[in-house]
Amino acid sequence: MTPIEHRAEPTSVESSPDTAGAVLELRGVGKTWAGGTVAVRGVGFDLRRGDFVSLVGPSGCGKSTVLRIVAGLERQTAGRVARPEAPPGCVFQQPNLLAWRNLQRNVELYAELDGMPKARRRELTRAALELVGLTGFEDHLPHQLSGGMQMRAALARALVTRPELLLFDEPFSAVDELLRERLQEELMRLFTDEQFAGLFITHSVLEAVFLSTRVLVMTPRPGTIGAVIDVPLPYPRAPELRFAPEFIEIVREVSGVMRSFSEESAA
Amino acid sequence: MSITDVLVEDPDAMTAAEDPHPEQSKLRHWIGVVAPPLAVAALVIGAWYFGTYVLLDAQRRFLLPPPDAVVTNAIFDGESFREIMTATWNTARVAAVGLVIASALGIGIAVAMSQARWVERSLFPWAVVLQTVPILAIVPLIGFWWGFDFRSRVLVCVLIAIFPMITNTLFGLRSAPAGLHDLFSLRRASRWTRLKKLEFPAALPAIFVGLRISAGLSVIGAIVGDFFFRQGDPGIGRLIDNYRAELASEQLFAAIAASSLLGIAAFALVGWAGELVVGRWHESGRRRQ
Repeated sequence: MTPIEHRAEPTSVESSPDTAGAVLELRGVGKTWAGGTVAVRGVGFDLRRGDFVSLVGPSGCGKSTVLRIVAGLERQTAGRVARPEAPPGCVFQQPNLLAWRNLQRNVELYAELDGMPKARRRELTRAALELVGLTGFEDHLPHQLSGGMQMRAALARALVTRPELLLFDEPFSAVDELLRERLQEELMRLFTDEQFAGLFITHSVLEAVFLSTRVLVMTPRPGTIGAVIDVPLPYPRAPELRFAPEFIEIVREVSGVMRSFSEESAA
Repeated sequence: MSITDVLVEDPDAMTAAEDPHPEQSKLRHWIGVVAPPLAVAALVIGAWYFGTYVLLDAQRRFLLPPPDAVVTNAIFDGESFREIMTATWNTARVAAVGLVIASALGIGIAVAMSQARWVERSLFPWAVVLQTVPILAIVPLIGFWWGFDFRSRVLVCVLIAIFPMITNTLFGLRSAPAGLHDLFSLRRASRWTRLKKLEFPAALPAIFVGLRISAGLSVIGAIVGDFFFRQGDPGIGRLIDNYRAELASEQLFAAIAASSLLGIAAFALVGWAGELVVGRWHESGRRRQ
């Protein structure tokens, strides 16, 4: 494989996102499992650089399936997915660090698997560790890091090749409340600075609204996108925004839509 | 920083900070570790003397010589000691070569099984059969085919020690969590890369579990081989049999002790190697409170 300069995008992409092409395009994507269960159907949306889109919905609605299709870990059984040539960065619910590798070697994993030369790998890893505030812990093994540091390491690993598309599968759902908010703020700041295209799976409406430019609400199984709600709040977003009326208003709207979907399906 | 950002993974550091006399408590800890088994040893030696001097009359005392006689006549006696040590060394060599071959073959077979279902399906039943055939039943055949020296003894060790290597390695290779496999799938990693960078490292703790079992079995195999194959350098098994025939009970006891020590040494050596390789990162190697 040849190393690809993922950042070598024309600058016009960032300056005028409306006219630039989408980083990710889904059209009528569906997934039916081998047993005949329909996991998701008719999912379609676009993602550009500078979009941070959250997918929210009840457990089992197929949010993670959509993400795994986008990541290329599952194949859709219907529809079309156009994704960047370079594989996306992916952060999962578990940090998924290799226990036998120190932080440095864990973070450089994707760059290593892409066949990047060692010197370049080192350089990118250093930059990624700095972005998540883990400089100085390069020699630590995963079990020597706290839960929050492990999550940051997983984030650094996803960032290391500078992908234009980053995918998050409920990355903060296994950590405590306080840490979750801190990690959200760090991710929000990263997004503000880096302007990648982000797809974020969560069942927390608060988390979705705080992070996103747009929230997609999925219906219960078989999941499809039932509503699109824009979050027109400027970045960087302050932690106190969580208590601001305009924020709460959007949270209420998203929650209301989610509730109406689950009531419809229950009826 | 929130609480969770502090490194709290080292319980030793915390107890050391709380304890005003770490030296003293370390000593107490070691007494706690060493004293109970020593007490058992004292009881056993007491029972041994009781058996020798109370239960047996003088004419039959040769069946169970007192411990001090074993020490003075077999261990402090240069000739017997040298004889026992040489034989133990010969057996150790057989067991070590057998273990190395069994591990290389066992790991190789397990890797092949993990890479292709058909290999597993065709080989695994035979590995089970190999395991269930009583080793003593095929030892004469091995001698019949390959003679009665070093080679045959090693083969017995390999046959007896290979099964745990196959099963533990295979289990280990399969133990890499799906979440870690996803990382490699994301990058379209080749099978070889996946094996080298994920499955094999993940299997190492299980491989060392297998090695520990196989090391003990290999020693047993070498001693069993000694009984049957009476050519080449005599091993400890043959010496034990000779001492029995000569009614040299003190030497017999010393030789049995030497063969047990060999087993313990093999177990400890593999444990130490495992500690060195995976102890740093695998929880089985880390001390639990």
